[in-house]
Amino acid sequence: MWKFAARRIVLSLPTLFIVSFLAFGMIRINPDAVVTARLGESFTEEAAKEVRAEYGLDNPFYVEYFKWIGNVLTGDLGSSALSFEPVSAELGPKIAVTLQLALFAILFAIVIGVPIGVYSAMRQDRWPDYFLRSFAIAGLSVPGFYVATLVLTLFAIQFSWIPPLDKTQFWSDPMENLQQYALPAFILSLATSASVMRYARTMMLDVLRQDYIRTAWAKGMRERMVISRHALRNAMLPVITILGLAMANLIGGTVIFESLFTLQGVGSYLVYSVAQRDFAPVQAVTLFFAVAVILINLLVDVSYTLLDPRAKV
Amino acid sequence: MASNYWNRWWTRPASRRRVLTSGGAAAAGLAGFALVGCGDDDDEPAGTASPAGTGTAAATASATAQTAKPVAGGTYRYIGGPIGGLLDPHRTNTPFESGVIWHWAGNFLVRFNIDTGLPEPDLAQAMPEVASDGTDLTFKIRPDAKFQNKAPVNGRTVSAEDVKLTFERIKGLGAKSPRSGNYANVDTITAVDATTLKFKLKAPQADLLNVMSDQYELVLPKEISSRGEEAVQKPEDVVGSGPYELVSYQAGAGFEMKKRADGYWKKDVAWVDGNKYTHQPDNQAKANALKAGEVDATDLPVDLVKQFDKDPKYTIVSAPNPTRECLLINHTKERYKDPRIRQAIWRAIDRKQVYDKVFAGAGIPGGPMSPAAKSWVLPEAELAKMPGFGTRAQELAEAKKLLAAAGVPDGFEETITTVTAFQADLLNDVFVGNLAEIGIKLKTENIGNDFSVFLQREIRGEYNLASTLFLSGPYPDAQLLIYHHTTKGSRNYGKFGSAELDAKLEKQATLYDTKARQALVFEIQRDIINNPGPAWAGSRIGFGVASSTLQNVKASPFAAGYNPAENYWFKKA
Repeated sequence: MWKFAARRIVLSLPTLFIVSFLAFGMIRINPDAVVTARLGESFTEEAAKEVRAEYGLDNPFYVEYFKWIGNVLTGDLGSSALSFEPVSAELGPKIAVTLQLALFAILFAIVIGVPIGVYSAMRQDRWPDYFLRSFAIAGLSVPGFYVATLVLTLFAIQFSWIPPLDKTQFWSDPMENLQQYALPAFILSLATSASVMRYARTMMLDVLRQDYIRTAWAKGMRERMVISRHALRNAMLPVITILGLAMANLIGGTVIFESLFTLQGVGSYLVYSVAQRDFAPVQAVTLFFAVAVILINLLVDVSYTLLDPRAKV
Repeated sequence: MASNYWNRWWTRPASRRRVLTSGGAAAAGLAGFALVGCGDDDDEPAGTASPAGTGTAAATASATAQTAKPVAGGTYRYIGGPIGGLLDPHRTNTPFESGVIWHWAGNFLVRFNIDTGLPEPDLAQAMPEVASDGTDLTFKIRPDAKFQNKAPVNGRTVSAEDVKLTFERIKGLGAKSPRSGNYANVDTITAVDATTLKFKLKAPQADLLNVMSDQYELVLPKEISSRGEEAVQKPEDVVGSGPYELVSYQAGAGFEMKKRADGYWKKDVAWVDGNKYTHQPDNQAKANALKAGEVDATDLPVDLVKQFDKDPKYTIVSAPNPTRECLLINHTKERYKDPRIRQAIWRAIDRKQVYDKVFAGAGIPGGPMSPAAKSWVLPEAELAKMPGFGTRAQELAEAKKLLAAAGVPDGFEETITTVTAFQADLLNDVFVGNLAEIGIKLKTENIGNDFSVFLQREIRGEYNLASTLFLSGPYPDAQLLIYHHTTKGSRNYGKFGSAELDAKLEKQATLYDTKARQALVFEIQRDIINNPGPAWAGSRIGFGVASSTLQNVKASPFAAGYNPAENYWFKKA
């Protein structure tokens, strides 16, 4: 397994290189935009020269790129041009916020998607199945940010409530923390839940048609036993892949959700930094997202090999 | 009461005078946007597409609130932003983290008066004595003003030396400060003694007092300002003489402040225990937070403000923004050297339509100065009789006559440049329609959504006509001189030139007598309207909404002018 993991890590290096290259290069496509954004109407050639030097815009691209990569490898993500703080120091606490939101969303996706998918499969082509599939289609087709805006507005107007703005750590007050994260995580999970539900249903239907399930029925086992002991385990294996991919999407989705729910995570940090044209945080956050997605995929692959030995082949 | 007042914005045509006279009565300041950059001889909010208005919710007090006795206590909670990363008020143009924090934590030498648009003493005991034909300004500093009891000042008295080093620092920052150019005319600053400060100017400059009252000219302790360019980088560097101390701050997240433990040196002000500002650029999220009672105030665009109109739990405040929408004319192009063409364009612009269509009626048609400038703006009754402010039919007829006299009776084809930012593109749509009515067929060139790139095009003169907007301090030099002077006009992007106007602009800048200066400023506005440089359209209105328990809320056209730190208080339920 270690060999397998090592091979996957090596294979992910080109991806990281491409992402880092894009993250670094994209914001340098129009260096003048950065300079004028910083200087505004105070723009003079002299001042512009200073800003270009500050950002290294007057050096060749590759020189700055390799300098940046070298710093990143030593843990130096650069400093914010606005707050003067190291990006790593600013990013640290925000990662916890984003991870918590994404993990809660995944939990919701599992708790909602898997049972509904299984139930739907067990009641195939009956009205509960039709109803739940419609729900899944709705979950997939209505954008999460739209649902979030509607729900927040509804709660604010009808119940004078939104998730509290004062943030509390989970370990200091779990209930208060849940009030802050449950709603955004739930809405963020809707599309993933729908996806998981549909996948779980399909896989379950597939498994339920297998000979060993028929044998289990023939032996007179109760439905609960057939499903939980024989069908579910095999049906869920591919769902793990979906959850892994969904986790990557969820991390990306936090960009909008953090903004809507006033959560100070990596996503809102990225939005803010882009608006401020603050190079270092934008590069660092883009790289963070890329690394997170690669790591998640790696974990999924590794877990798959653990759960299904055939995947090693 | 405030709601009824505000509701009139939707039921009646916007009247400029109504806003001017209601300055003390309604309020605004919460809302706003900011523009990219500002001139170095100006002082404006700018930065990178950040809100310019500030969140300093200043509201009016209803009659009851004004007569009621303030009560101490409560934390003022505000949601808005962006709350940026540069705490240094002298180096930034983003109002929240610099202007707002420092307004609570510090003081000005002289500050902007929201009702008059004129400077008034803050740390100064009175307005300065002016001598030597206007080149010597002597201030007396209040002897009772004390810094907060924190290192490195530990509660010591504010001295003339502190003020001197503050202004020397701003001037010395050069390209690192959007405001250093404002002090180019300052020759020397001398602390004569502990409470006497003398500015020696190279030439008389009445506007210097307006500049000093602008939102970012906060006085720092000499121990901090003498550290140079990087003097204010961390929360612990925020030490002022104001009533509140910074407790926590995180860029892009928010900040909290609490009342200074040693007591504020000004008596009977600063009632709330502290504040909590939360970063949230999304307008719907801000409205939700207010509805849910998570915050006490926010700024909102006109469409979202309406939901609070009939709810007695909220006070709605509004004020004109110092931003001015305009159709910029490039005078270096041969066609626009003919004043009749420019006059025709000026007349063809339907200013009311601009604000009805682009800003849902929340704007005030105006001339070269924003209504936010209060005392400096041409009186409404007179403005109504000026070109461009008559009936639509009359203006179009006159515009066509002007085009005919210029030899283009059927108009002409032209390119107009704009950007998808700050509603400039929507403004452009109106201009295109307006000018089509006199035969000027405009082809739009939209350069995208980066205002800074658009700004560079303006600065380089790479346009013929441009639909744009400018944000400047609400006083004469910032709104007139720098946009219309041939050589001193750092924002005269259209290269408008008139020796006669230059002379008047220079003259007004030397007049310390407000009445005399006002008369000349009015005359200049008349001149510009009759012989336009840029075709000014007017100013949008900013809206703020506050919980009705919050008292003394008043609107400010920008971050200066009204200090919530000293005035807000909560009515007990």
